[in-house]
Amino acid sequence: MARGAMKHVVVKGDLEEATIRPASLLSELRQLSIEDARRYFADASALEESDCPACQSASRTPAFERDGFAFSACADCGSVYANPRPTAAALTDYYASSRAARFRTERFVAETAEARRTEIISSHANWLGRIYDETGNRLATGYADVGTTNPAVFDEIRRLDLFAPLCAIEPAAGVVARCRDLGIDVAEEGEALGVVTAFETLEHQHAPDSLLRAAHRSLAPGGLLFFTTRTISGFDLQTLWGSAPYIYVPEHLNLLSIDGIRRLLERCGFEAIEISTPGRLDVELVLHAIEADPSIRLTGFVDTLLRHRDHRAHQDFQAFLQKHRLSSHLRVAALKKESHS
Amino acid sequence: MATPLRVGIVGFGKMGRIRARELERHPGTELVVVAEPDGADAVPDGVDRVADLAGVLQREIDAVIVCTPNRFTADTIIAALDRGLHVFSEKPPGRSVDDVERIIDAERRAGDRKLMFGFNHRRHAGIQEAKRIVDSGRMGQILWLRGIYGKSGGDGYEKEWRSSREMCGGGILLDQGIHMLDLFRYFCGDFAEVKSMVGTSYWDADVEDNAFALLRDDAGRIAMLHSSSTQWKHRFNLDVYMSDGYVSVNGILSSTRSYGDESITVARRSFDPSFAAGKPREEVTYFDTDPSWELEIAEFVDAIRDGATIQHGTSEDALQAMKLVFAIYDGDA
Repeated sequence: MARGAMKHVVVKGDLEEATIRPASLLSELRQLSIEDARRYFADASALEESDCPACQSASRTPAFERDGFAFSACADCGSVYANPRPTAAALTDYYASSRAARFRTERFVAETAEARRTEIISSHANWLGRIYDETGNRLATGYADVGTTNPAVFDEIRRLDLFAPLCAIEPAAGVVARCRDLGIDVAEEGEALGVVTAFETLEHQHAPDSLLRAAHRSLAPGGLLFFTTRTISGFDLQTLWGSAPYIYVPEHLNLLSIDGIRRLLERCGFEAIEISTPGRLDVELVLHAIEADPSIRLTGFVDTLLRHRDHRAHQDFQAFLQKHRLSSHLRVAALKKESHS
Repeated sequence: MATPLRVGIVGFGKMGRIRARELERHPGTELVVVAEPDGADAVPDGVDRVADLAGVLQREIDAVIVCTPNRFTADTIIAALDRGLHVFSEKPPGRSVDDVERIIDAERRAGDRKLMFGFNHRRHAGIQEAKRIVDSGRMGQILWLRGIYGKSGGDGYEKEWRSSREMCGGGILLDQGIHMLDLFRYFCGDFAEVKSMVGTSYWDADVEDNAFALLRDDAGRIAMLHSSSTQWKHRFNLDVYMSDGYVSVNGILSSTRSYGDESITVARRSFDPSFAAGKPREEVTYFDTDPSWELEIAEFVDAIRDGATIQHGTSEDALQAMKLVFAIYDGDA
């Protein structure tokens, strides 16, 4: 029986980075993260070697170094990942007690919450509602968000009037009380859920496959997983590579390629039903980066496009990146496969 | 596993070959015989070729797929139903409303035999997505629809059987525009009022090459149609505007992709003063494959196997679509 065709999505609409990531907040978060990372992961025992977190290949080459942390490029799927990387225990400690983690939830997320609700979370809710309408298991109506940093997601999910109960799995320490105020269950793992989401979470994980396997266990048969993350396959990261100023440990341990994401889903028991890169900021991110760091060198075509063409050309190019899965903002919808063991 | 349904195809042109491909892919069907008087198109290995319908009806088969020119459609369907066979037929369902009414009489005589028409556009991924969004009610109620379906014709187009009133009963509206009318009905149900203009502007043929129509239902919802064979760049576009947003299906996947990528644009109405008016955030979903042919055959086979009611492309759908076609013709008479 034919199921829905594999699809991908393009988003049209103006968005500026400053709307969801104000420069001053972003700069402070970055500075705190770099300082805390040096402190929390200075000891050799806090780091460990890793194979590719997407496809598990041990074949790799050095990619770049950021703030004293090395990144490797997987020779098989093209993913880029911090290696060595903080151990799971060191990361747990960091997110529980670092200044950067606290700043992220108490200032960065809180102060951008309304803009993110309008620009991002509302569309996430519509997205998963549409795919649930198409493919979801209607008997499984439980919903969980993994690693919640912005509880506004639950308000938007409630508007759909599709899901109950609502649950936050391992939310950020600073938002647990807010979740409970909203009547959201807080748990370490779910059970027989219809939908699990993980927005901008995969890139922080010590082991992304652990997150996906936990989601798989939490979902009912036919359950759906939705996540967003940054992909190294996107234009801005391919262009800036190790010079991307917004890449730092431990916020970005995993910059998985689209090929890597496919393999990760497969080995964790999911079938991809949508892989899209509906990002609207790649061009702007590169422009900001080269303005801030004149030493960054662009190739001829990219230099011509970015420095010598106007905003309209940039918008058209961004639309092209979306349509051909070449933006670094990745969103994935996947179905729990029945036969996975 | 159950014995495969034995199937014959009458008419082995482009549509007959598409249906043969889908029968081959479906595990519950076996193509036994095809009837095709013209040409020397190869038939699949192991499939007999006969000259006409009579040759098909002599075989031990369970179902017939009718892919003939319109002139033969009704009589072929009726003969197959009267022979006790299940029937799947391409659209249009004949050359006139009278043809469909004769078919429905035969369907009644045939008792539990299944009859289904190939209004496959309903099963395209973009249309299915639009239907789910509309039915969810999350964008409010339908206000209006607008459908454009046009093709360019081509060298010798005016000499093809599709351009002959004697063979077809009508022109581009009956041949292609009927899909859009069926989609209007899929979203809104029946329409009570029709206003139209129909013309032959370019092709030297005795059928129309352009039809423009406005339809209104009892709830006051208006649907606007343009069906054309002088649309020099192939085009399919269906807009459904609702009280809180809209969906727009653009392109329809075909074997040559000449109607472009199939996509659906979805947006919510926004009167937020902080945004430019009339420029909402849109999401465009592109579909990589067309499941419509496979879904149609699956529905037909399931209905025969399980006795289930046909949901898409019933004889009532065919009748109402034909009534709209001829109301549009009559509206400009």
